[in-house]
Amino acid sequence: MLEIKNVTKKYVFKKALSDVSVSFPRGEIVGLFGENGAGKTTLMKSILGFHSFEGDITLDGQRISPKNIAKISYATSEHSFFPNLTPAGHREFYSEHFEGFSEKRFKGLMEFFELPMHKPLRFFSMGQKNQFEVILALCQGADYILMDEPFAGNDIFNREDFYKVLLGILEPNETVILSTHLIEEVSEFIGRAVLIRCGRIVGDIGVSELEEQGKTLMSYIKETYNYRADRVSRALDEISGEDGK
Amino acid sequence: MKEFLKRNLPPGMDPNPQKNLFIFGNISAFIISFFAFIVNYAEARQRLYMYLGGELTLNADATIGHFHSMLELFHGMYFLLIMFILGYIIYNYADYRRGSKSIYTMKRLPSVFERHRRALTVPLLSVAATVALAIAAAFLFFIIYVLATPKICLPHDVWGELWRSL
Repeated sequence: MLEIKNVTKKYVFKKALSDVSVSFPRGEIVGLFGENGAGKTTLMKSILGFHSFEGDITLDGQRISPKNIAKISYATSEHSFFPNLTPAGHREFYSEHFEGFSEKRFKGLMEFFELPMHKPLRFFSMGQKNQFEVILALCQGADYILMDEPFAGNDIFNREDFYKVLLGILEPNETVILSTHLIEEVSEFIGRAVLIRCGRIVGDIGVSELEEQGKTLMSYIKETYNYRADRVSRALDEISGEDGK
Repeated sequence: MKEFLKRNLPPGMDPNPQKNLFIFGNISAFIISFFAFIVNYAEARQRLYMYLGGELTLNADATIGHFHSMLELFHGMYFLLIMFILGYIIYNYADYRRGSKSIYTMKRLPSVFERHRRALTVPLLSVAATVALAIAAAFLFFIIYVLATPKICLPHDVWGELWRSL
C-alpha cells in the first residue's frame, strides 16, 4: 500500500499540494487527473522523494528510502533515460541496479514496439522515446509504476496499442498511477480516478461506482470541476458584442 | 581502461574528452614547464661564470639561483590543468540534466552514491594522477638542476630546494 498522509508542499510563492491524503493499494490502475498546475507532477515527485514536503508518505508501512525505492518506477514526459546510451546499455544498467528488472518483459516490449536495441536514445523520435521511457518503468520490477503524462507526442494508434499491452502484461500486484489529460482514452482501462485541483484531492471514485451511477468519467470530472458548458459561447458573445460596436 | 571509464562516468558519456584532456593536458604542461625550466636554468647557470682574461671561468663563490625560481610556468601550467579537470565535475553532474532528466533515474537508485561516484571518480583520479605526474616532473627537473650545476655552486640545503618548490 502506498499511503500519502497530510502532504503539503510549498514553493516560495505557491502551495503546490495542500494537505493531500490518499492511498493506493496493490493491483490498481489509477488515473490521476487535473488541470495544468494542479499538483499531479508535484505529488508524484513527492512520492519519489525528489523534493521535500510536510506530511508522511509510506510504502508498505515504511518511509520511502534507498532500501525500498526500487519498488517504485517512474515514467515522465521529461524523459528519465540516458540519451547517449542505447537500449542495450539501459538493459545492462537497469539489471545491475534494480534486482527485479525483467529482461523477458524488456525484450518482449522492445520487439512489440519495434525499437532498435543498439541505437542511442538521442536518435529516437519523440514517440519512440516515450515508448522506451514507459518500457523502462514497466520492466524495472517495481510494485508501483508512476507515469506522468507519458504519451505526449504519441499518435492514437501507438497509444491504443500501448493500453492493450499494459493491460495484458501487468501482474495482479502491480499498481499503475497514470497522470494524463487523455481522459476518454484511459477511462476504458483504469479502475479508479483521483482528481486533483489546486493542490487538493477533489475527487476519488472507482470506475465501477461511476457505472452504477450511470455516469461517465468525463461527466464526473466536469461535475466535480463545476465546468460550465456555456462558458465558451458566453465568452464569444462578449467578444463579438464588443467588436460590433 | 574503456570499461573502467564506462563504469565511472555518467551512463553513455563519451569518455574521450576527459581522457584527452588528461593525456594531452599533462603532455603539454610537462613540455611547456620543461622548456621554461631549461631556459630559466640555463640563464641561472650562465650567471655562475664570468670572463677572466678573455676566458669563461666559474665563479667559485657564486651560488646558483633557487630551484623554485626556475619553476615559474610549472606551477601555473599544472594548476590550470587541474582547474580544467575539476571543471569536468560540474560537466558530469550537468550531464544528468542534459538531453533528458536522467537525474530522476539516478535519484531513484538503491545505491545512494552512484550518481556522485560517476560524476566525481574520473576527475578526482585525474587530479591525483596529475599531481603525481607533476611531482615526478619536478623531481626530474631537480635532478637536472643538481647534476648540471657544479657542486660548489649548489645551495647548502639542496634537498630543501626541492621541498620548498613543491
